[in-house]
Amino acid sequence: MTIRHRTPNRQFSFITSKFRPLPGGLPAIFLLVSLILLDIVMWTSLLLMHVSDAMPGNIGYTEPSVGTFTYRLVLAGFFVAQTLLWGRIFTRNEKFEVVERLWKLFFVGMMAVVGVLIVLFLLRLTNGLTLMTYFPGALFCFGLFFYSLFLVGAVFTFQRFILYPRTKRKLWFWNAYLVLLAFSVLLLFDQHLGEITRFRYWIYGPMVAVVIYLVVQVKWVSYLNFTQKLRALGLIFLILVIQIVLLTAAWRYVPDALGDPWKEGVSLEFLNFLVSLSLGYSLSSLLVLFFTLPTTSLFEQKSFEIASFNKINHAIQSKLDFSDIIDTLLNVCLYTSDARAWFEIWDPEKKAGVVKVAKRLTLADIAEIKGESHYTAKVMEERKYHLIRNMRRGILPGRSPMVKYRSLLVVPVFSGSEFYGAIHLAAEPVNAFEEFNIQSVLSYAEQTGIALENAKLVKESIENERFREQFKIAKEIQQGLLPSTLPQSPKVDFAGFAQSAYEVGGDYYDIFQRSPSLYRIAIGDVSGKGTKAAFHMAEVKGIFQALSQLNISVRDFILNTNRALAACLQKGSFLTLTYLELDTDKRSVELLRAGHCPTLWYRRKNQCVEMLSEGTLGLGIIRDDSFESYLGEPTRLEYEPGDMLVLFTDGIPETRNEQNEEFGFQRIEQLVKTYGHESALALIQRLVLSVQDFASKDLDDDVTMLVIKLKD
Amino acid sequence: MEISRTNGPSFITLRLSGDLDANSSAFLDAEISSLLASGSYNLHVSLADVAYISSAGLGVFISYLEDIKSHGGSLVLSGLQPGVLHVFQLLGLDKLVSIVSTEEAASQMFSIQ
Repeated sequence: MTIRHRTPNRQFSFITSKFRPLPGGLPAIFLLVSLILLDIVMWTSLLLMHVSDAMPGNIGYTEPSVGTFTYRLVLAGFFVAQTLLWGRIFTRNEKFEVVERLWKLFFVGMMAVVGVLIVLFLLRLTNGLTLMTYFPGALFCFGLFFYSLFLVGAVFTFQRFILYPRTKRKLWFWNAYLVLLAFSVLLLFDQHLGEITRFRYWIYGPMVAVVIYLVVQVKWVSYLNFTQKLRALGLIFLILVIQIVLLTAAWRYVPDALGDPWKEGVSLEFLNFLVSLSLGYSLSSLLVLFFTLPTTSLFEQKSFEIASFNKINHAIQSKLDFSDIIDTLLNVCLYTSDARAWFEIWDPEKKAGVVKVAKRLTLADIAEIKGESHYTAKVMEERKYHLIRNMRRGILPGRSPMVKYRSLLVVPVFSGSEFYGAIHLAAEPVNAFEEFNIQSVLSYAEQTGIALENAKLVKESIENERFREQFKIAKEIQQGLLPSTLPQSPKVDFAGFAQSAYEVGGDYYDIFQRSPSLYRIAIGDVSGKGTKAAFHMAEVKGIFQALSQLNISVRDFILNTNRALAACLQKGSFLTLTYLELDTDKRSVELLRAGHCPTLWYRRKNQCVEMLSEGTLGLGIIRDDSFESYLGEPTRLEYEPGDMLVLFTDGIPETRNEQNEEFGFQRIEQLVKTYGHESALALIQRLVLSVQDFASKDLDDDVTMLVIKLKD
Repeated sequence: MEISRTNGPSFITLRLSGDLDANSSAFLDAEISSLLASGSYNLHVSLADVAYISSAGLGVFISYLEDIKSHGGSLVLSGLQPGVLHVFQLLGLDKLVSIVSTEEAASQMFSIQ
């Protein structure tokens, strides 16, 4: 199984700054220029030495006229300059692109080959011409230049390959190689170093070890795709040929042309070490490339999987359409194996999978493959994949003994506890799905599940945000339903407090001043909490505002409110309400309690509190006219200045503390008794603070209070 | 909230335990609703183990009152704790629903009928 496809963004590159400033602050370009100058000077000197020594009349010279030491010093200088210069140029920190770098090296190699071939050709041509005897030396210098240029280029090209990716140990070995290389330059002076040269061949031991280590560092190969590998293979082969040509020329023809004394100078450790690494590395790369060529698809598949994850994620984020997501998922799954596929979404009502998307299969094929089995239900129940390696259906009556698709893989797609459906992959061969196919499909399914879950969460959080906004508006509107200012009068003093457990609540109080001395007051509590209660509360407000305009008795007010509510309250919802009519001229109050908390009457005269608990049913409980039969007469009271009426909703007595005790009516009564002489506002503040202190946590019911201080 | 059901000879007993708040009253609602749908209109609900009843809980009883009455059935509550009883009394529900102290008293209510 091989996969041919283009994988984008496959550039193995690491980028660092091109020109690092030198320690002295000089830009690297100065170093480069000075290296070029040094290289030119050294090479020109070398050339001049050879040419001058080969002048006519100096035939048969045995050693350089400038002396061996000077000659070798110049030769060493040339090697060092050549290495530093070309090493620097070839390791310029550009993008690491294998094929591109190999091309570059190949061109340099071709140049060197052409250069050397021209040199050899000219040598042949000039052989025996005594007038032209200075020619071989000059040509040798040209050959040496190209030869060393290519070798340094090869070694430093391979440096980037060896050090990909960089590790401490590899760097250590590379540096060791450079040190040994530098040491090999010193060996040019073997005749002048005396005793040390006895150890001359000792350097080969560590060098061989280091080169062997470096030669096997070919990790970059595994990062190439098939095409890149083929190209690299071809180029390295050509580079290897170039090396062999150059080596043959260097070892065989050049020294022959130069004569024995110079031969000594040419067979040098320095060049040998360069050759050993470049030749060794080319060979090992060639072999590794060649032998990993067939397994490239595995690596490609892994990287394809990663790309597929992104593809699925992208599909989900950009489309948010289930069919598209499933389509992408199936396409991705099909890449991993030569199969056919379909997806069944889960239908909770039928308790079965329904074919949603099919790839290279008709519904009839699918029915044929499935037979009598319900794989979707099976994988949902088991929460794991189901694999059939060799499907046979011969035992079933009326079926052909052989089925076309012998392998079937069914993988569920879950997100959290939610089951979306199942991927079905069918293939003709027996045992078509290997472990790695299954693992790939499993990971796609998982990824899809996660992505679907994420998409859902994002959608939900947007929705939540909208709800929050709506609740904010609802809260503002509801607060507008409660009186923003209470009537002011020298004869009566009002104070109110309302707090909802949720954003909105079902508590309500209102005061309507019908005439300068007549007030209609209501406090109520709609059953339930939150939004439902809040809507009903708005209805109550409408009813109160409408009825309190009319000239009707307290009893009729309650009766009509019940009638009105019967039409608009939901079944099971009800309203508790206390309604009062306060006449400041007559100093009288008439009130009717409809299922609501009793009103407390603080009497200044003897500083006692009376609970006005006479009353009738809550409103909306009985919605027909039989309600009237339960309706008693309102309570009438005559007050004295300094008396106080305290009305509240059940949120106050039912507030609980840590011991789960209720605040209760008695505590309220006691507080009213103690602080009844204070103003309405002062009392309400005391009550609110006491309840808040008492509560173990945030209030979980709506809390509303209305205090009426009666004055002269 | 736990609801256990006992089918008696002439009535069905539901025993509730826990708080009857906005969440748990939904379960009670579903239970009573299914009983009425199956034609059982004689219901006895034991509230002996209910420490708290919210307005939503009261709403459940209220919403089926009319239905039960129109089918000639009756709803009897028994064993109300003082706090719960107070809530029923405040709202005036004690005038609409038979409230008795013990389960025995409740079964007597049905045998009288």
